[in-house]
Amino acid sequence: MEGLDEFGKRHGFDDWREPKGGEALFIWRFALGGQELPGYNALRIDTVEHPDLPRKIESLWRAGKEDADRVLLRVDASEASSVTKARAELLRLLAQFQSPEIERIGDGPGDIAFGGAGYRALVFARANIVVLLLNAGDEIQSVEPPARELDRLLREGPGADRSSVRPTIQRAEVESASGGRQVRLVLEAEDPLGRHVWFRLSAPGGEFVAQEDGVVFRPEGEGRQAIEVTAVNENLGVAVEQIDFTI
Amino acid sequence: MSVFLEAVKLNHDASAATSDAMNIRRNKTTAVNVPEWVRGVSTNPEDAPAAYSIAETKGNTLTIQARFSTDEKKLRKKGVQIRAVDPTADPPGPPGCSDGCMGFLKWLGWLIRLLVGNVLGDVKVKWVPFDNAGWSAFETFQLQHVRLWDVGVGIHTTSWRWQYREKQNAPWTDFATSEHRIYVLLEVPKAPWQQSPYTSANTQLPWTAVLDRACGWAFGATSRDQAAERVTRSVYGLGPSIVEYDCPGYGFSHYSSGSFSCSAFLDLLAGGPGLGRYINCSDCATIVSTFANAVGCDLWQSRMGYGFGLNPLLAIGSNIWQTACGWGSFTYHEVAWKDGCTANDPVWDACLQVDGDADPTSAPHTPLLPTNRRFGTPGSMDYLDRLVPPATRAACQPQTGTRTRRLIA
Repeated sequence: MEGLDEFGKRHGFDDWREPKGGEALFIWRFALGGQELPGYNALRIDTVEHPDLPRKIESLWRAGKEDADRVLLRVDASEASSVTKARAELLRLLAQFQSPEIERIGDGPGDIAFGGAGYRALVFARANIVVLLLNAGDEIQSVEPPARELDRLLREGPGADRSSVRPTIQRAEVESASGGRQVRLVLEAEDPLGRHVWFRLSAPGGEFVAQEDGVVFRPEGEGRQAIEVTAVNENLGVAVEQIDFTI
Repeated sequence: MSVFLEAVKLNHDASAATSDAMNIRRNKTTAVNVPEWVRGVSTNPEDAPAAYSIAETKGNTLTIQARFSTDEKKLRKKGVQIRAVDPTADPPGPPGCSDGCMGFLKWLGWLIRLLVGNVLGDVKVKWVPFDNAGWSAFETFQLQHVRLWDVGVGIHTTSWRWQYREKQNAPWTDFATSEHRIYVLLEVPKAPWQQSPYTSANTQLPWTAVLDRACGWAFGATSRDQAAERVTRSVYGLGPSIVEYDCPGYGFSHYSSGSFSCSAFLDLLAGGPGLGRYINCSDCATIVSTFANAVGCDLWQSRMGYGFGLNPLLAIGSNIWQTACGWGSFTYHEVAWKDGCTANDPVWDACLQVDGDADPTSAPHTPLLPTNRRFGTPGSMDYLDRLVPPATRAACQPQTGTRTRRLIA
């Protein structure tokens, strides 16, 4: 989008446009199923495709308490094809705030976060996912608790005890690694009830990139590699496997 | 009964909208099937929707296509003459009503027809042959007494009483009634709306769900600028009962941060939660231009900026004159804008009212909703001067590179 340079300067984009290294985390085919935010009920969850932007989930949640109609929470999650592209998407979202009072939050959720005073609005990037949380009802509340809950879900995956109905990982392996410093991952999982399954991938280092309806892993160096694959279904049931291979 | 109306196509030529209806769909998920009217399926006018462009059809003979069947063997051989008339054109008077009351009722009927009644006129008579099984082809009929070009933007119900006769001078026999919801637009909708490809997968075909709102908002408009103004006023008028400027969320684009979340916005208009009640300037610019373009306007969404102070204003949904939530400035602002979206081009801003008096920087304030207002240059007392105080006007420049029309989602 034209005009992003101005917002890039305003928000110090050069300082955070690239990830700093360390653990590689990647979320693939992310979805919200309606159980991610304890204390909230999902009113709508829409998936929005745009030819030039990351796939986005737009959702609206109502607090499950007495004055529920007055407390509405807007949660969007955009899935970029790489961590670097997620940072660019974060900047694009920052350019949607008309207020000059949006600032970087040092100890916020995610790898990098921006928001306003009192956490009335928040946008953060964790790995290749950009999450936006806004108040959407008459009663204004801090969006920090649900933001931290979602960030924990992305960073650590759901707890193993979250649901007894779990997906099954059918394939978690690398295609032939010969001929280069990157491998293509083969990931297949199935939910017993046929629901959508998303993946959380982590490795001690390197980089994941979504490419051609799949995921490519680029390790930091040659040698033995290990990738933890977590498959997650809509009610946050998980299955975990590890892929070991050598480059 | 010996003749049956089986189906009616109003959009029978998907490649043009010059003598028939244009390509439309109902909403993001549902297409409008053609034939729009089908025997046994279509019971209400909204079951058979069609949209016509005043500009593209003007001076042309409008046509429809209809298909019939008969269960009488003698009619299969000879065929029949068929026509359809407007049953509301000359209704019988109520019993016990004197001439004076008839005069008033006739006037009332004329007024109702003018506002919402039949704009497609009558279906001209035509011989219709049947095959051996008693089915006709889709026959093309011309329309006469069309009033489409005499009304402005609107939504009308066209009712047709279908009649047939076996001989030239025989009396007509009624055999069917069809009702159609007709959207009258100034022109074929402009981008982001599309006319092609005409497939059920193309979600950018004009939505009747949007036309239901847009034609109501722009009702009676006979020019683009008039329609744009009416849409802008209607959108601003959604506050505070339905929408409110997003002070809590720092002025974020709730419905337009990528595509235009039109389905969610329509849900909000219908009393649902949508994506919440808060909107910002990009949302307003997107709503105004998308809905206005649906009836034939040619507006864009474009930004100005970056980082400029504000005069006191009335944000949508607010009755307090202040500098947008008390922030004092905007990082950017976005409006519905015409042509090249330059300083010389007019804007339509449904997000806020500016001070329309000689001194927009201080009280007293005269509310002015910016519609068809030239953006202007510092000191010209156009839109720019009314929005921005002198000290930061230089920082509020048209950003023509941001000129866009967000996709519909």
